[in-house]
Amino acid sequence: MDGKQYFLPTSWYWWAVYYRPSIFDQYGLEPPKTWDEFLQVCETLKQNGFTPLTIGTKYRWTAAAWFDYLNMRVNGPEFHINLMLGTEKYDDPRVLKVFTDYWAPLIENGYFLEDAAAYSWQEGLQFMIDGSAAMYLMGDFVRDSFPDELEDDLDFFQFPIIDPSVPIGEDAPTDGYFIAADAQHPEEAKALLGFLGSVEMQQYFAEKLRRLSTHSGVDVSVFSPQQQKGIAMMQTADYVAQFYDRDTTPEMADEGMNGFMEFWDNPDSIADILARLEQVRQEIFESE
Amino acid sequence: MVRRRTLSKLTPYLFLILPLIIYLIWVIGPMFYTFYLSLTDWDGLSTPNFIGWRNYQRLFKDPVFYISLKNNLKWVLSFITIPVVAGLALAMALNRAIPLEKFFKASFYSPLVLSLVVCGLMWSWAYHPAHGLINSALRLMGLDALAQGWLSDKDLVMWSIIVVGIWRQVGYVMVLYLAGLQGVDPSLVDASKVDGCTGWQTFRHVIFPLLAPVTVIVVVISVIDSLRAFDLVSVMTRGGPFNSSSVLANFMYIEAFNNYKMGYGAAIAVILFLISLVFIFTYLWRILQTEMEY
Repeated sequence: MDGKQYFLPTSWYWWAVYYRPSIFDQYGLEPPKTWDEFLQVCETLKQNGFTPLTIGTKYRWTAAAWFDYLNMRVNGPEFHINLMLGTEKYDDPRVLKVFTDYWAPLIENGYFLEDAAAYSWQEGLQFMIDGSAAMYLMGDFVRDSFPDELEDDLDFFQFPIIDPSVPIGEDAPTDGYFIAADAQHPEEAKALLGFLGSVEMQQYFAEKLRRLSTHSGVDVSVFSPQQQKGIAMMQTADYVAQFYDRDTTPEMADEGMNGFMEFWDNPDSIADILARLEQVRQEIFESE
Repeated sequence: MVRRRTLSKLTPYLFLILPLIIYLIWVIGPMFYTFYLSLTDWDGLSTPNFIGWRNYQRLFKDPVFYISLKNNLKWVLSFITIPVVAGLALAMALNRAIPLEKFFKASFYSPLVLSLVVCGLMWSWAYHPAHGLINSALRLMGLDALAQGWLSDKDLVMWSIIVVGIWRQVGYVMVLYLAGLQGVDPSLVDASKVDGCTGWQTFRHVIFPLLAPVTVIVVVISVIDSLRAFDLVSVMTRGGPFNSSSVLANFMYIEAFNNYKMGYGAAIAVILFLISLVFIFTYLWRILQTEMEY
Protein backbone atom coordinates (compact mmCIF):
# COMPACT_ATOMS: atom_id res chain seq x y z
CA MET A 1 0.00 0.00 0.00
CA ASP A 2 1.43 3.38 -1.08
CA GLY A 3 4.79 1.66 -1.59
CA LYS A 4 5.03 0.53 2.04
CA GLN A 5 4.28 -2.75 3.76
CA TYR A 6 1.92 -2.73 6.72
CA PHE A 7 1.69 -5.28 9.50
CA LEU A 8 -0.85 -5.58 12.29
CA PRO A 9 0.94 -6.94 15.37
CA THR A 10 -1.26 -8.91 17.72
CA SER A 11 0.87 -10.95 20.11
CA TRP A 12 4.46 -11.29 21.21
CA TYR A 13 6.68 -13.14 23.65
CA TRP A 14 10.07 -12.43 25.19
CA TRP A 15 13.28 -14.40 25.31
CA ALA A 16 15.27 -14.91 28.49
CA VAL A 17 17.43 -17.44 30.27
CA TYR A 18 15.05 -19.94 31.84
CA TYR A 19 16.29 -21.91 34.83
CA ARG A 20 15.33 -24.40 37.57
CA PRO A 21 15.27 -22.45 40.86
CA SER A 22 15.49 -25.70 42.85
CA ILE A 23 18.92 -26.45 41.34
CA PHE A 24 20.09 -22.88 41.98
CA ASP A 25 18.88 -23.06 45.60
CA GLN A 26 20.86 -26.26 46.18
CA TYR A 27 24.08 -24.33 45.75
CA GLY A 28 22.93 -20.94 46.97
CA LEU A 29 23.05 -19.44 43.48
CA GLU A 30 21.26 -16.21 42.57
CA PRO A 31 20.13 -15.34 39.03
CA PRO A 32 23.26 -13.61 37.62
CA LYS A 33 23.04 -9.99 36.48
CA THR A 34 26.53 -9.51 35.05
CA TRP A 35 28.62 -11.65 32.76
CA ASP A 36 31.13 -12.53 35.46
CA GLU A 37 28.32 -13.64 37.79
CA PHE A 38 26.94 -15.72 34.94
CA LEU A 39 30.29 -17.46 34.36
CA GLN A 40 30.50 -18.14 38.11
CA VAL A 41 27.08 -19.76 38.09
CA CYS A 42 28.04 -21.92 35.11
CA GLU A 43 31.30 -23.02 36.73
CA THR A 44 29.62 -23.89 40.03
CA LEU A 45 26.99 -25.95 38.25
CA LYS A 46 29.59 -27.73 36.15
CA GLN A 47 31.70 -28.58 39.20
CA ASN A 48 28.66 -30.18 40.78
CA GLY A 49 27.88 -32.43 37.85
CA PHE A 50 25.15 -30.42 36.11
CA THR A 51 25.00 -29.30 32.51
CA PRO A 52 24.88 -25.53 33.02
CA LEU A 53 23.31 -24.64 29.67
CA THR A 54 21.11 -27.02 27.74
CA ILE A 55 20.31 -26.44 24.07
CA GLY A 56 19.10 -28.38 21.04
CA THR A 57 20.77 -27.02 17.90
CA LYS A 58 19.58 -29.52 15.29
CA TYR A 59 17.44 -26.82 13.66
CA ARG A 60 20.07 -24.15 14.32
CA TRP A 61 17.88 -21.23 15.40
CA THR A 62 18.53 -21.89 19.09
CA ALA A 63 22.20 -21.19 18.40
CA ALA A 64 21.24 -18.00 16.54
CA ALA A 65 19.60 -16.79 19.77
CA TRP A 66 23.00 -16.87 21.47
CA PHE A 67 24.48 -14.80 18.65
CA ASP A 68 21.63 -12.28 18.87
CA TYR A 69 22.04 -11.75 22.61
CA LEU A 70 25.84 -11.78 22.74
CA ASN A 71 26.08 -9.37 19.81
CA MET A 72 23.47 -7.02 21.28
CA ARG A 73 25.07 -7.10 24.72
CA VAL A 74 28.63 -6.59 23.45
CA ASN A 75 28.13 -4.29 20.46
CA GLY A 76 24.71 -2.82 21.06
CA PRO A 77 21.40 -3.36 19.27
CA GLU A 78 22.05 -0.67 16.65
CA PHE A 79 25.15 -2.46 15.34
CA HIS A 80 23.30 -5.79 15.52
CA ILE A 81 20.32 -4.59 13.47
CA ASN A 82 22.60 -2.97 10.92
CA LEU A 83 24.39 -6.28 10.58
CA MET A 84 21.01 -7.95 10.01
CA LEU A 85 20.11 -5.36 7.41
CA GLY A 86 23.40 -5.92 5.63
CA THR A 87 24.97 -2.51 6.25
CA GLU A 88 27.65 -3.81 8.64
CA LYS A 89 30.26 -6.43 7.80
CA TYR A 90 30.50 -9.95 9.21
CA ASP A 91 34.30 -9.79 9.33
CA ASP A 92 34.19 -6.62 11.45
CA PRO A 93 36.43 -7.08 14.53
CA ARG A 94 33.42 -6.31 16.71
CA VAL A 95 31.67 -9.42 15.40
CA LEU A 96 34.80 -11.53 15.89
CA LYS A 97 35.00 -10.35 19.51
CA VAL A 98 31.55 -11.79 20.22
CA PHE A 99 32.76 -15.24 19.23
CA THR A 100 36.31 -15.26 20.61
CA ASP A 101 35.78 -13.44 23.91
CA TYR A 102 32.32 -14.58 24.94
CA TRP A 103 30.87 -17.49 23.01
CA ALA A 104 33.99 -19.65 22.54
CA PRO A 105 34.82 -19.72 26.27
CA LEU A 106 31.33 -21.06 27.03
CA ILE A 107 31.84 -23.86 24.52
CA GLU A 108 35.43 -24.63 25.45
CA ASN A 109 34.67 -24.73 29.18
CA GLY A 110 32.03 -27.36 28.48
CA TYR A 111 29.11 -25.29 29.76
CA PHE A 112 26.82 -26.37 26.92
CA LEU A 113 25.05 -29.72 26.55
CA GLU A 114 27.15 -32.40 24.87
CA ASP A 115 26.16 -33.37 21.29
CA ALA A 116 23.69 -30.46 21.19
CA ALA A 117 23.53 -30.67 17.39
CA ALA A 118 21.74 -34.02 17.62
CA TYR A 119 18.76 -32.60 19.47
CA SER A 120 15.73 -30.53 18.50
CA TRP A 121 14.94 -27.73 20.96
CA GLN A 122 12.34 -29.90 22.73
CA GLU A 123 14.83 -32.75 23.12
CA GLY A 124 17.22 -30.20 24.62
CA LEU A 125 14.48 -29.16 27.07
CA GLN A 126 14.21 -32.78 28.22
CA PHE A 127 17.54 -32.43 30.05
CA MET A 128 16.20 -29.49 32.00
CA ILE A 129 13.00 -31.39 32.82
CA ASP A 130 14.87 -34.43 34.13
CA GLY A 131 17.07 -32.14 36.24
CA SER A 132 20.45 -32.81 34.64
CA ALA A 133 20.63 -29.32 33.13
CA ALA A 134 19.93 -25.99 34.80
CA MET A 135 19.50 -23.20 32.23
CA TYR A 136 18.11 -22.67 28.72
CA LEU A 137 18.16 -19.49 26.63
CA MET A 138 14.66 -19.72 25.16
CA GLY A 139 11.43 -17.91 24.35
CA ASP A 140 8.53 -17.80 26.79
CA PHE A 141 6.74 -20.51 24.80
CA VAL A 142 9.01 -22.97 26.62
CA ARG A 143 6.47 -22.85 29.47
CA ASP A 144 3.95 -24.69 27.27
CA SER A 145 6.34 -27.63 26.92
CA PHE A 146 7.25 -27.79 30.58
CA PRO A 147 5.30 -30.43 32.54
CA ASP A 148 2.50 -29.06 34.71
CA GLU A 149 3.76 -30.67 37.91
CA LEU A 150 7.08 -28.79 37.58
CA GLU A 151 5.45 -25.50 36.65
CA ASP A 152 6.54 -23.82 39.87
CA ASP A 153 10.16 -24.84 39.36
CA LEU A 154 10.65 -22.79 36.21
CA ASP A 155 11.70 -19.16 36.32
CA PHE A 156 13.73 -16.85 34.13
CA PHE A 157 16.20 -14.00 34.32
CA GLN A 158 17.22 -11.36 31.80
CA PHE A 159 20.25 -12.30 29.71
CA PRO A 160 23.20 -10.97 31.75
CA ILE A 161 24.53 -7.49 31.04
CA ILE A 162 28.05 -7.59 29.63
CA ASP A 163 28.72 -3.87 29.18
CA PRO A 164 26.53 -1.53 31.25
CA SER A 165 27.29 1.37 28.91
CA VAL A 166 25.70 -0.43 25.95
CA PRO A 167 21.92 0.00 25.32
CA ILE A 168 19.84 -3.07 26.14
CA GLY A 169 18.46 -5.02 23.21
CA GLU A 170 16.12 -8.00 23.65
CA ASP A 171 14.63 -10.55 21.28
CA ALA A 172 10.83 -10.41 21.29
CA PRO A 173 9.38 -11.96 18.15
CA THR A 174 6.00 -10.52 17.27
CA ASP A 175 3.18 -12.31 15.50
CA GLY A 176 0.46 -10.60 13.54
CA TYR A 177 -1.36 -10.27 10.23
CA PHE A 178 -0.72 -9.07 6.70
CA ILE A 179 -3.25 -8.56 3.90
CA ALA A 180 -2.15 -9.75 0.46
CA ALA A 181 -1.64 -6.87 -1.95
CA ASP A 182 -3.90 -8.42 -4.58
CA ALA A 183 -6.59 -9.57 -2.14
CA GLN A 184 -10.00 -9.87 -3.75
CA HIS A 185 -11.89 -8.25 -0.86
CA PRO A 186 -9.50 -5.70 0.65
CA GLU A 187 -12.19 -3.74 2.47
CA GLU A 188 -13.53 -6.83 4.22
CA ALA A 189 -9.95 -7.91 5.03
CA LYS A 190 -9.25 -4.53 6.58
CA ALA A 191 -12.47 -4.81 8.58
CA LEU A 192 -11.38 -8.22 9.86
CA LEU A 193 -7.97 -6.91 10.89
CA GLY A 194 -9.57 -3.92 12.53
CA PHE A 195 -11.71 -6.30 14.53
CA LEU A 196 -8.76 -8.56 15.47
CA GLY A 197 -6.67 -5.60 16.49
CA SER A 198 -9.37 -3.87 18.53
CA VAL A 199 -8.87 -3.55 22.24
CA GLU A 200 -11.89 -5.74 22.99
CA MET A 201 -10.62 -8.68 20.90
CA GLN A 202 -7.09 -8.25 22.20
CA GLN A 203 -8.42 -8.34 25.76
CA TYR A 204 -10.39 -11.48 24.91
CA PHE A 205 -7.33 -13.21 23.42
CA ALA A 206 -5.27 -12.18 26.43
CA GLU A 207 -7.75 -13.70 28.86
CA LYS A 208 -8.53 -16.88 26.93
CA LEU A 209 -5.16 -17.71 25.36
CA ARG A 210 -2.89 -16.03 27.89
CA ARG A 211 -0.91 -14.54 24.99
CA LEU A 212 0.74 -11.19 25.52
CA SER A 213 -1.02 -8.54 23.53
CA THR A 214 0.65 -5.78 21.57
CA HIS A 215 -2.26 -3.44 22.23
CA SER A 216 -1.34 -0.98 24.96
CA GLY A 217 -4.98 -0.63 25.95
CA VAL A 218 -5.21 -4.20 27.23
CA ASP A 219 -5.45 -4.61 31.00
CA VAL A 220 -2.28 -6.52 31.93
CA SER A 221 -3.57 -7.64 35.31
CA VAL A 222 -5.05 -10.73 33.62
CA PHE A 223 -1.53 -12.06 33.13
CA SER A 224 0.29 -14.26 35.63
CA PRO A 225 3.04 -12.79 37.85
CA GLN A 226 5.66 -14.45 35.66
CA GLN A 227 4.21 -12.78 32.59
CA GLN A 228 4.11 -9.45 34.45
CA LYS A 229 7.78 -9.91 35.18
CA GLY A 230 8.45 -10.52 31.50
CA ILE A 231 6.50 -7.44 30.47
CA ALA A 232 8.40 -5.34 33.02
CA MET A 233 11.70 -6.73 31.73
CA MET A 234 10.82 -5.76 28.17
CA GLN A 235 9.83 -2.28 29.24
CA THR A 236 13.40 -1.67 30.46
CA ALA A 237 14.79 -2.66 27.06
CA ASP A 238 16.05 0.07 24.75
CA TYR A 239 15.46 -1.92 21.61
CA VAL A 240 13.41 -4.96 20.58
CA ALA A 241 14.66 -7.29 17.85
CA GLN A 242 12.60 -9.89 16.01
CA PHE A 243 15.14 -12.75 16.07
CA TYR A 244 18.06 -13.55 13.79
CA ASP A 245 16.21 -15.45 11.09
CA ARG A 246 13.44 -12.83 10.92
CA ASP A 247 15.65 -9.75 11.08
CA THR A 248 17.83 -10.77 8.14
CA THR A 249 16.97 -12.35 4.77
CA PRO A 250 16.26 -16.12 4.65
CA GLU A 251 19.34 -16.79 2.54
CA MET A 252 21.65 -14.83 4.83
CA ALA A 253 20.06 -16.47 7.87
CA ASP A 254 20.62 -19.93 6.38
CA GLU A 255 24.32 -19.21 5.77
CA GLY A 256 24.72 -17.42 9.09
CA MET A 257 23.17 -20.25 11.08
CA ASN A 258 25.31 -22.82 9.28
CA GLY A 259 28.26 -20.63 10.23
CA PHE A 260 27.24 -20.67 13.90
CA MET A 261 26.99 -24.48 13.81
CA GLU A 262 30.40 -24.77 12.18
CA PHE A 263 31.87 -22.44 14.82
CA TRP A 264 30.24 -24.54 17.54
CA ASP A 265 31.94 -27.63 16.17
CA ASN A 266 35.35 -25.94 15.82
CA PRO A 267 35.64 -22.55 17.57
CA ASP A 268 39.14 -21.93 16.15
CA SER A 269 37.80 -21.73 12.60
CA ILE A 270 35.70 -18.62 13.30
CA ALA A 271 37.89 -16.20 11.33
CA ASP A 272 37.48 -18.25 8.16
CA ILE A 273 33.77 -18.66 8.80
CA LEU A 274 33.26 -14.91 9.21
CA ALA A 275 35.25 -14.21 6.05
CA ARG A 276 32.94 -16.52 4.16
CA LEU A 277 29.81 -15.00 5.72
CA GLU A 278 31.05 -11.55 4.73
CA GLN A 279 31.36 -12.76 1.12
CA VAL A 280 27.80 -14.07 1.24
CA ARG A 281 26.59 -10.81 2.77
CA GLN A 282 28.15 -8.85 -0.08
CA GLU A 283 26.58 -11.10 -2.68
CA ILE A 284 23.16 -10.81 -1.11
CA PHE A 285 23.03 -7.17 -0.04
CA GLU A 286 25.43 -5.43 -2.37
CA SER A 287 24.86 -6.99 -5.80
CA GLU A 288 22.42 -5.45 -8.31
CA MET B 1 -10.12 -58.15 -42.98
CA VAL B 2 -7.55 -55.41 -43.57
CA ARG B 3 -9.41 -53.04 -41.25
CA ARG B 4 -9.23 -55.52 -38.41
CA ARG B 5 -5.51 -56.01 -38.93
CA THR B 6 -4.79 -52.27 -38.81
CA LEU B 7 -7.01 -51.88 -35.79
CA SER B 8 -5.23 -54.65 -33.93
CA LYS B 9 -1.89 -53.05 -34.81
CA LEU B 10 -3.13 -49.68 -33.59
CA THR B 11 -4.73 -50.98 -30.41
CA PRO B 12 -1.58 -51.00 -28.24
CA TYR B 13 -0.94 -47.39 -29.17
CA LEU B 14 -4.52 -46.44 -28.50
CA PHE B 15 -4.20 -47.91 -25.02
CA LEU B 16 -0.98 -46.01 -24.52
CA ILE B 17 -2.35 -42.62 -25.56
CA LEU B 18 -4.08 -41.83 -22.27
CA PRO B 19 -1.14 -42.61 -19.95
CA LEU B 20 1.18 -40.95 -22.43
CA ILE B 21 -0.81 -37.73 -22.37
CA ILE B 22 -0.83 -37.74 -18.56
CA TYR B 23 2.91 -38.43 -18.59
CA LEU B 24 3.55 -35.59 -21.04
CA ILE B 25 1.56 -33.09 -19.01
CA TRP B 26 2.71 -34.05 -15.54
CA VAL B 27 6.27 -35.29 -16.06
CA ILE B 28 7.75 -34.17 -19.41
CA GLY B 29 6.17 -30.73 -19.38
CA PRO B 30 7.43 -29.78 -15.90
CA MET B 31 10.81 -31.20 -16.88
CA PHE B 32 11.16 -28.67 -19.70
CA TYR B 33 9.75 -25.95 -17.48
CA THR B 34 12.48 -26.76 -14.96
CA PHE B 35 15.12 -26.41 -17.67
CA TYR B 36 13.70 -22.99 -18.45
CA LEU B 37 13.49 -21.97 -14.77
CA SER B 38 17.14 -22.88 -14.25
CA LEU B 39 18.00 -20.07 -16.66
CA THR B 40 16.03 -17.49 -14.64
CA ASP B 41 16.28 -15.88 -11.23
CA TRP B 42 12.76 -16.83 -10.16
CA ASP B 43 12.16 -16.56 -6.42
CA GLY B 44 8.81 -18.35 -6.48
CA LEU B 45 6.75 -15.17 -6.12
CA SER B 46 7.68 -12.43 -8.57
CA THR B 47 8.06 -12.78 -12.33
CA PRO B 48 11.12 -14.72 -13.52
CA ASN B 49 13.88 -12.84 -15.33
CA PHE B 50 16.09 -14.60 -17.84
CA ILE B 51 19.71 -14.64 -16.61
CA GLY B 52 21.33 -17.26 -18.82
CA TRP B 53 23.95 -19.55 -17.32
CA ARG B 54 24.47 -17.53 -14.12
CA ASN B 55 22.85 -20.14 -11.87
CA TYR B 56 25.17 -22.82 -13.22
CA GLN B 57 28.22 -20.59 -12.84
CA ARG B 58 27.25 -20.00 -9.23
CA LEU B 59 26.58 -23.70 -8.72
CA PHE B 60 30.01 -24.79 -9.88
CA LYS B 61 31.60 -22.34 -7.44
CA ASP B 62 29.37 -23.36 -4.53
CA PRO B 63 31.20 -25.53 -1.95
CA VAL B 64 27.90 -27.07 -0.82
CA PHE B 65 27.42 -28.47 -4.33
CA TYR B 66 30.70 -30.37 -4.09
CA ILE B 67 29.94 -31.56 -0.56
CA SER B 68 26.58 -32.85 -1.81
CA LEU B 69 28.19 -34.57 -4.80
CA LYS B 70 30.69 -36.28 -2.51
CA ASN B 71 27.93 -37.40 -0.17
CA ASN B 72 25.87 -38.77 -3.05
CA LEU B 73 28.99 -40.62 -4.21
CA LYS B 74 29.46 -42.11 -0.72
CA TRP B 75 25.83 -43.19 -0.89
CA VAL B 76 26.22 -44.75 -4.35
CA LEU B 77 29.36 -46.69 -3.45
CA SER B 78 27.78 -47.94 -0.22
CA PHE B 79 24.54 -48.90 -1.91
CA ILE B 80 26.04 -50.87 -4.79
CA THR B 81 28.25 -52.92 -2.48
CA ILE B 82 26.80 -53.66 0.94
CA PRO B 83 23.10 -54.25 0.23
CA VAL B 84 23.97 -56.25 -2.90
CA VAL B 85 26.36 -58.58 -1.06
CA ALA B 86 24.16 -58.84 2.02
CA GLY B 87 20.96 -59.27 -0.01
CA LEU B 88 22.54 -61.96 -2.13
CA ALA B 89 23.92 -63.78 0.92
CA LEU B 90 20.51 -63.67 2.59
CA ALA B 91 18.78 -64.88 -0.58
CA MET B 92 21.21 -67.80 -0.88
CA ALA B 93 20.72 -68.64 2.79
CA LEU B 94 16.93 -68.44 2.67
CA ASN B 95 16.50 -70.20 -0.64
CA ARG B 96 16.23 -73.55 1.03
CA ALA B 97 13.58 -75.05 3.29
CA ILE B 98 14.85 -74.15 6.76
CA PRO B 99 12.69 -73.69 9.86
CA LEU B 100 11.18 -70.20 10.13
CA GLU B 101 12.16 -69.47 6.52
CA LYS B 102 9.05 -67.38 5.91
CA PHE B 103 9.51 -65.49 9.17
CA PHE B 104 13.07 -64.52 8.26
CA LYS B 105 12.09 -63.46 4.76
CA ALA B 106 9.26 -61.32 6.14
CA SER B 107 11.46 -59.78 8.82
CA PHE B 108 14.19 -58.74 6.44
CA TYR B 109 11.65 -57.31 4.03
CA SER B 110 9.62 -55.46 6.67
CA PRO B 111 11.66 -52.21 6.78
CA LEU B 112 10.54 -51.57 3.22
CA VAL B 113 6.95 -51.49 4.40
CA LEU B 114 7.79 -48.46 6.52
CA SER B 115 7.99 -45.09 4.85
CA LEU B 116 11.42 -43.46 4.78
CA VAL B 117 10.16 -40.72 7.07
CA VAL B 118 9.20 -43.29 9.70
CA CYS B 119 12.58 -45.03 9.32
CA GLY B 120 14.34 -41.69 9.70
CA LEU B 121 12.41 -40.85 12.86
CA MET B 122 12.94 -44.27 14.43
CA TRP B 123 16.65 -44.24 13.78
CA SER B 124 16.95 -40.64 15.03
CA TRP B 125 15.68 -41.94 18.35
CA ALA B 126 18.08 -44.89 18.22
CA TYR B 127 20.91 -42.44 17.52
CA HIS B 128 19.92 -40.09 20.40
CA PRO B 129 23.31 -39.52 22.11
CA ALA B 130 22.06 -39.59 25.70
CA HIS B 131 19.12 -41.98 25.81
CA GLY B 132 19.05 -43.69 22.41
CA LEU B 133 19.12 -47.44 21.86
CA ILE B 134 22.62 -47.56 20.43
CA ASN B 135 24.49 -45.46 22.99
CA SER B 136 22.52 -46.93 25.90
CA ALA B 137 23.40 -50.45 24.75
CA LEU B 138 27.07 -49.49 24.37
CA ARG B 139 27.15 -47.98 27.86
CA LEU B 140 25.42 -51.03 29.30
CA MET B 141 28.19 -53.19 27.84
CA GLY B 142 30.82 -50.88 29.33
CA LEU B 143 31.82 -49.57 25.89
CA ASP B 144 31.22 -45.92 26.82
CA ALA B 145 34.08 -44.75 24.65
CA LEU B 146 32.30 -45.98 21.55
CA ALA B 147 29.19 -43.92 22.26
CA GLN B 148 29.16 -41.06 19.74
CA GLY B 149 27.05 -38.18 18.59
CA TRP B 150 25.97 -40.21 15.58
CA LEU B 151 24.04 -37.39 13.96
CA SER B 152 25.92 -34.44 15.44
CA ASP B 153 29.48 -35.44 14.52
CA LYS B 154 30.25 -34.04 11.09
CA ASP B 155 32.46 -37.01 10.18
CA LEU B 156 29.94 -39.67 11.22
CA VAL B 157 26.63 -38.16 10.23
CA MET B 158 26.56 -39.10 6.54
CA TRP B 159 27.50 -42.71 7.29
CA SER B 160 24.93 -42.88 10.10
CA ILE B 161 22.22 -41.91 7.61
CA ILE B 162 23.50 -44.26 4.91
CA VAL B 163 23.31 -47.14 7.42
CA VAL B 164 19.57 -46.54 7.66
CA GLY B 165 19.28 -46.62 3.87
CA ILE B 166 21.24 -49.86 3.72
CA TRP B 167 19.17 -51.40 6.54
CA ARG B 168 16.10 -50.76 4.47
CA GLN B 169 17.55 -51.70 1.09
CA VAL B 170 18.89 -55.15 2.03
CA GLY B 171 15.40 -56.68 2.17
CA TYR B 172 14.58 -55.31 -1.26
CA VAL B 173 17.72 -56.78 -2.83
CA MET B 174 17.11 -60.07 -1.04
CA VAL B 175 13.63 -60.36 -2.55
CA LEU B 176 14.94 -59.58 -6.05
CA TYR B 177 17.62 -62.22 -5.74
CA LEU B 178 15.18 -64.77 -4.30
CA ALA B 179 13.05 -64.28 -7.40
CA GLY B 180 16.15 -64.56 -9.59
CA LEU B 181 17.18 -67.78 -7.85
CA GLN B 182 13.83 -69.30 -8.76
CA GLY B 183 14.86 -68.86 -12.37
CA VAL B 184 18.13 -70.73 -11.96
CA ASP B 185 17.76 -74.16 -13.53
CA PRO B 186 18.35 -76.71 -10.75
CA SER B 187 19.68 -79.24 -13.23
CA LEU B 188 22.65 -76.94 -13.88
CA VAL B 189 23.41 -76.82 -10.17
CA ASP B 190 23.10 -80.61 -9.95
CA ALA B 191 25.41 -81.01 -12.94
CA SER B 192 28.07 -78.89 -11.28
CA LYS B 193 27.81 -80.97 -8.13
CA VAL B 194 28.26 -84.12 -10.18
CA ASP B 195 31.37 -82.52 -11.70
CA GLY B 196 32.76 -82.26 -8.16
CA CYS B 197 32.39 -78.52 -7.51
CA THR B 198 32.40 -77.22 -3.97
CA GLY B 199 29.54 -75.03 -2.82
CA TRP B 200 31.59 -71.88 -3.37
CA GLN B 201 32.68 -72.97 -6.87
CA THR B 202 29.07 -73.76 -7.75
CA PHE B 203 28.06 -70.34 -6.60
CA ARG B 204 30.84 -68.50 -8.33
CA HIS B 205 30.80 -70.24 -11.69
CA VAL B 206 27.19 -71.34 -12.08
CA ILE B 207 24.73 -69.48 -9.89
CA PHE B 208 26.19 -65.98 -9.84
CA PRO B 209 26.62 -65.71 -13.64
CA LEU B 210 23.04 -66.90 -14.07
CA LEU B 211 21.94 -64.13 -11.73
CA ALA B 212 23.64 -61.48 -13.87
CA PRO B 213 20.39 -59.89 -15.17
CA VAL B 214 19.16 -59.47 -11.58
CA THR B 215 22.50 -58.01 -10.53
CA VAL B 216 22.33 -55.44 -13.30
CA ILE B 217 18.84 -54.36 -12.22
CA VAL B 218 19.86 -54.23 -8.58
CA VAL B 219 22.95 -52.13 -9.24
CA VAL B 220 21.17 -49.65 -11.49
CA ILE B 221 18.25 -49.24 -9.10
CA SER B 222 20.67 -48.81 -6.20
CA VAL B 223 22.51 -46.09 -8.06
CA ILE B 224 19.34 -44.24 -8.97
CA ASP B 225 18.00 -44.52 -5.40
CA SER B 226 21.28 -43.15 -4.06
CA LEU B 227 21.11 -40.16 -6.37
CA ARG B 228 17.51 -39.53 -5.36
CA ALA B 229 18.16 -39.80 -1.59
CA PHE B 230 16.23 -37.08 0.17
CA ASP B 231 13.74 -38.26 2.79
CA LEU B 232 16.21 -39.69 5.28
CA VAL B 233 18.52 -36.69 5.12
CA SER B 234 15.66 -34.22 5.36
CA VAL B 235 14.07 -35.93 8.36
CA MET B 236 17.18 -36.86 10.31
CA THR B 237 19.44 -33.84 9.91
CA ARG B 238 18.09 -31.48 7.26
CA GLY B 239 21.52 -31.71 5.64
CA GLY B 240 23.28 -30.60 8.81
CA PRO B 241 25.34 -30.09 10.81
CA PHE B 242 26.35 -27.20 8.54
CA ASN B 243 25.86 -29.17 5.32
CA SER B 244 27.95 -32.20 6.37
CA SER B 245 25.13 -34.53 5.35
CA SER B 246 23.88 -32.49 2.42
CA VAL B 247 22.86 -34.47 -0.66
CA LEU B 248 21.88 -32.99 -4.03
CA ALA B 249 18.13 -33.47 -3.61
CA ASN B 250 18.15 -31.94 -0.12
CA PHE B 251 20.38 -29.08 -1.26
CA MET B 252 17.95 -28.35 -4.09
CA TYR B 253 15.00 -28.39 -1.70
CA ILE B 254 16.56 -25.93 0.74
CA GLU B 255 17.70 -23.52 -1.98
CA ALA B 256 14.31 -23.58 -3.72
CA PHE B 257 11.88 -23.61 -0.81
CA ASN B 258 13.80 -22.19 2.13
CA ASN B 259 15.92 -19.56 0.41
CA TYR B 260 13.34 -18.66 -2.25
CA LYS B 261 15.86 -19.34 -5.00
CA MET B 262 13.70 -21.40 -7.35
CA GLY B 263 15.92 -20.70 -10.35
CA TYR B 264 19.02 -21.90 -8.53
CA GLY B 265 17.14 -24.95 -7.20
CA ALA B 266 16.05 -25.73 -10.76
CA ALA B 267 19.69 -25.65 -11.88
CA ILE B 268 20.60 -28.17 -9.17
CA ALA B 269 17.68 -30.34 -10.27
CA VAL B 270 18.86 -30.22 -13.88
CA ILE B 271 22.38 -31.30 -12.91
CA LEU B 272 20.96 -34.14 -10.80
CA PHE B 273 18.83 -35.15 -13.76
CA LEU B 274 21.81 -35.21 -16.12
CA ILE B 275 23.84 -37.36 -13.72
CA SER B 276 20.93 -39.80 -13.35
CA LEU B 277 20.46 -39.82 -17.12
CA VAL B 278 23.86 -41.45 -17.60
CA PHE B 279 22.83 -44.44 -15.49
CA ILE B 280 19.28 -44.59 -16.81
CA PHE B 281 20.55 -44.68 -20.37
CA THR B 282 23.00 -47.46 -19.49
CA TYR B 283 20.16 -49.44 -17.97
CA LEU B 284 17.76 -48.88 -20.84
CA TRP B 285 20.43 -49.70 -23.40
CA ARG B 286 21.15 -53.03 -21.68
CA ILE B 287 17.44 -53.87 -21.39
CA LEU B 288 16.82 -53.02 -25.04
CA GLN B 289 19.84 -55.10 -26.06
CA THR B 290 18.56 -58.14 -24.16
CA GLU B 291 15.11 -57.65 -25.64
CA MET B 292 16.51 -57.53 -29.12
CA GLU B 293 18.26 -60.82 -28.54
CA TYR B 294 14.91 -62.49 -28.32
